[in-house]
Amino acid sequence: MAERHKVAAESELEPGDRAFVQIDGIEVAVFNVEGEYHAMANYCVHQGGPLCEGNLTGRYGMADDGWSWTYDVTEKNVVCPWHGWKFDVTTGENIDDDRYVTPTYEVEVDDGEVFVRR
Amino acid sequence: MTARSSSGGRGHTFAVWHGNLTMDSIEALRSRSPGDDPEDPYADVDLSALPAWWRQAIEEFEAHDLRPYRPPRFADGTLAHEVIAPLEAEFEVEIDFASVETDFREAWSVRVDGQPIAAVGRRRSPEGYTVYETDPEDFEVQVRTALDDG
Repeated sequence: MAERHKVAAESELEPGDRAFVQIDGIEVAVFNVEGEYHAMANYCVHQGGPLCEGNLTGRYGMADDGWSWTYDVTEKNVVCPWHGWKFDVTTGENIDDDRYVTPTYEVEVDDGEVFVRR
Repeated sequence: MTARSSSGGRGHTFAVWHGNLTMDSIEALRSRSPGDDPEDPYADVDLSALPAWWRQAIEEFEAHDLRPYRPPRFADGTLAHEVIAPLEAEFEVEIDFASVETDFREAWSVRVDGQPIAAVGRRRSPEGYTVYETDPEDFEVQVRTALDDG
């Protein structure tokens, strides 16, 4: 059974912010993406870099016409500062290759405090 | 040049002169395949003798094809839990490390029962483990001082 671990106060995690905590030897990051919290391990599947310390970006895609580009402005993709691998913090999946997924965790908010279960 | 660590959020000296060497080592990892690691740190280790949290971390990393799990350590290489676990047992507290957006690239907080008591420099080594840029002796003094004062 995963235990609950305090990460930060809700007031410290505005949309676009992130917080980190080491839980039983593993670093976990909690992101506030447009008001929703998502937790992910701070280790890149590539080579163990500090994935969640990278910049957050939106994402380019292909429009339905198969010709023009789209851009999702939701900054929910974190770029590993070591070698640029990108992961969706809401799913843990690498945005270029869904074979690669970093661990994710359940987040709870209780009485103004943000907790991760691991 | 002699390795020098520091504590209380003053780990920048270590980080700055260590930086070029670390960046070169990180760049050298670029061409490796995901999860590839030339070393198996557990080749000669009896996994059943490790603490449960350590075994769980190993399994979690394996399940996601990450490089082998390596636990965090202090600047001199001492495994962090070897210092922290006795302190937690002695004082019946929970000690962890945390950070919020404003300073996560700099110092993290050392927390006792969720309350910050000190700052500590921190970095990820090219080997894939976290290094807290303080000596274990300094860390223990900081924690004991905070608990004695509390």
